[in-house]
Amino acid sequence: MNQDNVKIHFEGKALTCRPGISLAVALFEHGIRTLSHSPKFGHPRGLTCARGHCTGCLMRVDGEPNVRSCELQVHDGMRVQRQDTGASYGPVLQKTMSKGHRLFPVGFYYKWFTRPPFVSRMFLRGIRPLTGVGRLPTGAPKPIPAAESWGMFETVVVGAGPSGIQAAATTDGPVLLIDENPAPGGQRAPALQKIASENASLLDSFPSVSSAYKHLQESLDGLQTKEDITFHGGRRVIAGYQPDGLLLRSGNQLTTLHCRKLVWAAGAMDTLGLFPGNDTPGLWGPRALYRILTRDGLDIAGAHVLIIGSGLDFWLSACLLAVCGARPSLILTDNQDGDEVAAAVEHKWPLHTGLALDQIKQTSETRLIATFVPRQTQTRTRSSHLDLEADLALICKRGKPVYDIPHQLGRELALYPELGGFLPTGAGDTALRGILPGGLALEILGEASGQLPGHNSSTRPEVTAP
Amino acid sequence: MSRPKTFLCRCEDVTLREFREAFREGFTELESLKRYTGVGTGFCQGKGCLSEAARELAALRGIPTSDQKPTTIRPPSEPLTFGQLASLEIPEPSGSPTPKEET
Repeated sequence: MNQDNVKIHFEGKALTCRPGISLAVALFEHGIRTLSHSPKFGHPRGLTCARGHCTGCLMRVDGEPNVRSCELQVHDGMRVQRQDTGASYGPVLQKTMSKGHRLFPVGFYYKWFTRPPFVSRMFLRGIRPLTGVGRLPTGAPKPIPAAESWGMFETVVVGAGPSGIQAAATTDGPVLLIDENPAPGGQRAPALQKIASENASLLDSFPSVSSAYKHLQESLDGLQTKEDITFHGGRRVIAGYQPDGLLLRSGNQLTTLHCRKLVWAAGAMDTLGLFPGNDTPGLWGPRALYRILTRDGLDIAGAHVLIIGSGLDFWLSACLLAVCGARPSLILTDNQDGDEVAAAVEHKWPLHTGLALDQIKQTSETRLIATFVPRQTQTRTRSSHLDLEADLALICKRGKPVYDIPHQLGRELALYPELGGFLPTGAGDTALRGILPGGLALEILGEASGQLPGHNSSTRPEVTAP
Repeated sequence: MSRPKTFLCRCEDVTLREFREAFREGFTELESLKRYTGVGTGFCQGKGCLSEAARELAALRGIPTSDQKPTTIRPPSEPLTFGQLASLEIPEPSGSPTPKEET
């Protein structure tokens, strides 16, 4: 046994884990995918976004409830429980309540039991643990570092992907560049770099992947050319306060700052889509895959992975999985990627076209089965359906731009489904800029504006601080 | 063979079917649907589901998606503990008089 390995305690079992990986991935490597149960229907949920946004991986760790196990590194002696552990009748209760459709038209809802006070007490002691939202913390509270105040900045760029780097490099004067990833380059960077260093010939056979890598290299070179860029990684902007305030979080550490000009180039989020079984543990988006394979180094050798979708992330995921020793099966839902299809055939990756995803079901803790129907009909007649069983399934669709902070700062949004979701009104231009009511100059770039990588490279930011 | 549920909002466990039923019950605005079904009120604060809900609603109402506005997205965008909130210095509201010293 490796001396550096750490031992954690999961619900009475001692598990040996590699150091430096996140708790959710450590449990995943031990075949434990169900990290929580959903509050109303008691559905098993697991690691999904791998960046602390969703509820799938919330667990009780060392007496503290609602801990994001995808963000927390394992340490020796860590005590981990599912939040609804021991309440085996919880899911049954939830199912019964949700079946009683007349009495409970929208099912069981754990927020009902907050008034009057005696019901609230009953809720805290009895119902709360049952519903899986966790018991209150036990033991001494963990010390929380005092929040930092960084003061006023002329230009802040949020998101250090290719677009954000380019904006930072072409802006006059000092720039503060913030990203939630530890290093600049964006969400795809670690995946592209791993493929380039371990199997560069694979990179060359997929034009979209190699051009993304080239674009990344150019951006990172651009970062070197400007001296007064300060990069802070591992920090996420979690709030915007009008007129010009930002709140950042890194673990328990909060930071506030103000800015005169804000360039919003935060990357997109994975979109899984609406289909039966879209909450199945073991169903990920490409950005989660990049993080899990490069940050945590999940051992995925030999695993059979279904990749469903199209576009850059579809091919990048396939290359990354191949580099990591997994067996990708491709279900291409769009027929436009000609050169890539030829390369996939050359690598003898199983490839299906003309299919649409119908549903995904878990068959055991570590296996799932995806059902496809011919794309032209997309009906429920199962005469010609195809079932594929696998260890993991990936949905590679256009990502969802992150818009919440610009909205909090006063920017109007409208729905643009073809660009991935809610975007600032007037989206479709290469860059969106304007002066907000509070006087803050806001510019929205890259994936945050619904543009795919490389599409905004010709424009230079022109907003001047008021 | 029973079909698995399609979840519109994973945090608050709202299925697509529940959302459509709520629409048929007369909740035809995104704000009222959010309050009735809980869509977008959970841990992710709508990052995962708000645009899907809005798109579904636009289809149910038969209106162009570009007319669909989001619900108000208030800061912060993710849950914070009381301990974290207490770690923040509260700035003086601008233009307010300086507080009188306690005697």
